[in-house]
Amino acid sequence: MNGLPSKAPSLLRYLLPVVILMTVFPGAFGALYTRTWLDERQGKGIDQQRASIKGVPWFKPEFRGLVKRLKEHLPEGTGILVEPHAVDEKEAQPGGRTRWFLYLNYYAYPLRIYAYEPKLASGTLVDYTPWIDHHFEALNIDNSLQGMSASIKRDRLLKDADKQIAKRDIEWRLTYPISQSFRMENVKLYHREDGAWAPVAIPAFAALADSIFAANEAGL
Amino acid sequence: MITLSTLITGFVLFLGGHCALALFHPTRTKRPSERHATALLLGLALVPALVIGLVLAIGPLGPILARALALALAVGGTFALFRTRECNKAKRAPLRLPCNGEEYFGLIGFIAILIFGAFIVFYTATMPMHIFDPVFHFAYKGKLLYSEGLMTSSWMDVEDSIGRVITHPDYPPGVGAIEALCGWLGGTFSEDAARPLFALFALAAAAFLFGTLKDLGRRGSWLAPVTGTLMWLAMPFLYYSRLPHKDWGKGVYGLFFGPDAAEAKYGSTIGPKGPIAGEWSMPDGWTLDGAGDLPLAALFSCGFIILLRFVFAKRDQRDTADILIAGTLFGGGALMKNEGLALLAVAAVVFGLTWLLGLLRGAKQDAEGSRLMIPFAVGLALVVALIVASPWLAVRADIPTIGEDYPSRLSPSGLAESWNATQAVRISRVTSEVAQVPVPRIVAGGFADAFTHIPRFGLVWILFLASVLFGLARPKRLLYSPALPAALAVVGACALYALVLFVTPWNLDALFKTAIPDRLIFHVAPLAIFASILIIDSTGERE
Repeated sequence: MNGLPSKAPSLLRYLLPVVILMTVFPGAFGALYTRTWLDERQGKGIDQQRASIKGVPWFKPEFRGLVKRLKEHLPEGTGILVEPHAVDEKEAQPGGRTRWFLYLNYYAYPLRIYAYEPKLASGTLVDYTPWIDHHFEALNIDNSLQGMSASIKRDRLLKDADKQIAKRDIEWRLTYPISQSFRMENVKLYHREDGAWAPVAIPAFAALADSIFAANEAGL
Repeated sequence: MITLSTLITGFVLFLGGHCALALFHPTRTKRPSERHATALLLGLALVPALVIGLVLAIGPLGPILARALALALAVGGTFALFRTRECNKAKRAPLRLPCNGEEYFGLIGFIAILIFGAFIVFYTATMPMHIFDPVFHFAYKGKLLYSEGLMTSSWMDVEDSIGRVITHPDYPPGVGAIEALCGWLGGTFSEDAARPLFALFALAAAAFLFGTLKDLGRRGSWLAPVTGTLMWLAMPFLYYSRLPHKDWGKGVYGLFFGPDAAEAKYGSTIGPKGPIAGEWSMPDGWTLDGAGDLPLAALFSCGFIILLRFVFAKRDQRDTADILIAGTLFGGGALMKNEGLALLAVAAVVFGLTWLLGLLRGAKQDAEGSRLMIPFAVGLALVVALIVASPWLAVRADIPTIGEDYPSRLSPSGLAESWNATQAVRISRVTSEVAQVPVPRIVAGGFADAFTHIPRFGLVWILFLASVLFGLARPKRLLYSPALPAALAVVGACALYALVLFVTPWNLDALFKTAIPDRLIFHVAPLAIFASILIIDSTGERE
């Protein structure tokens, strides 16, 4: 498999100028990218750079703020059950950008993020709608469904959930509305006390988390 | 961002590859670009395999063990590098720059290659990792390898009514292994520090294509290597997948002058929720952000070409090391994305066909050597690939699969069901109007869009189609050319991917918004470029 002898003109001599001409597309991209970088990100720290990139939900400052707060005050390995508690009226068909539990799972690590029906939660966008339905129809999380059968089903599922939560030693629960926007005031935190979820105001979260951590450390 | 750990990891991958290359003891003299590229590709394939194997055996390496491993690879690699450099000094004439009038475009092209090579490094170093798949499918596995290892509850606890969240737990952790190594060497995990390492896959494939096409193209000519390498490095899909706006005119204008300028010139696009302002608020670029597609494309395509060189070489010029190198790169590809295993099957079938064609035509190489040499070589390469991927394959079956169990879906009944199925496709961006369209038509439309998307792939696929048609017009020459198996592998891979899309549980309309099938056909793009250049370069030769 050696090189070809150079007998006759190769069509490549006509192709190469065309290929060079076609570099205008990536060339234009490169110029545009470099200009944007110089204007918006040059010399900034990684957090500032992330904040300057539009259209990436998990770079939104409020979300990063929540992640920072959780990681600062909860010890590594703390389990948090994350669930949606409402659907934003604008979200007729909730898209992938509303999957805050996934973003939290990555950025809050090594905190352990748990979800109901983890296979659906971890699945593709096709699985996302059934995952949402599981919360609002089966678990009836917003109490929107009335009737005996809904109530029986819900009680059965929550009883099983209690077992799973205890088995995994999940102490915290975080709820959020399904929405493309992320607002700290819409996030709700709960701490598990005597088998029930007690709401914790976000401003009070740090102090409570620190005191629980200190008590655990002291073996109380 | 480039940190000290990025630089050290890059050198470890490069020198580790040289270490492996020396152990394989190659006898075929390689051009420096091909030699260093092969070494780098070996490092990018073997080091992740080593990391995954060690993590499986002893858990997360931690900084001390990782640094000891890095030191060992660096020392071994440095020794190997200087040894092979001395051996090659006497064998190669110095490289002549293309400076005659006939090839002055070669010089311009070569300069463009250097510019794009530099831009790739700049691009990966200055953009935070920001796309869904690289972060949540790939870097998350890097975090798990870095902190807790394989097969822990983070990977496995998805079966109960409450459990952990992990997207595609059965995606191989090769990309994550590189990120974890970078984290251990630097003392902290950072996907952004590891991001520039993905430039190495693009650059290694470029240097490999350059060296190989310099060898296989017309003697002394720069046309083949410069054209092929530039087509690869200047392929827009390496940098972005979407135009700033969906409307073509507005999109192309936005690419050249900025999305806001396009908005001002063409006005706002009205969507279902009102004006869509600044659609392109960020550069995307699936390939260089840290997904497994680019690593797989580089490793599989270069491995295939190396094996092709062995199969088509004269008996006395065959180098057994090529089989081992090709197998290692195939195995590395399987560690980067699950499609790497499917492409192994494609390679096996294509080389099987090549062997049968050789037997039918009574090819010289079979007369000179054993008739079983090709199946032996390909079989050995596949065995090596499976050995390299074995740390992952050993545990993969125990890790839960979520949603995409394609092998079980690719049954005759599954295919028949998909053939008759329809899916909702949004036909208007303005009104959100949808229509039920047959699945075969959606899949065919997706591939047709991808192959003809010039702002995304440049001339790669159009040229590939033209060169195949050109080759078919001279079947005898094509039959004896290494371009035939390369082209068959490209067609085979695309056909296999089309079948997979047929049975995917995804909604195809939603899936195609994530640059599918473009990301799939990208896996064999370097091979398509290689085949096209070989066929076109043979023009003017007598049949």
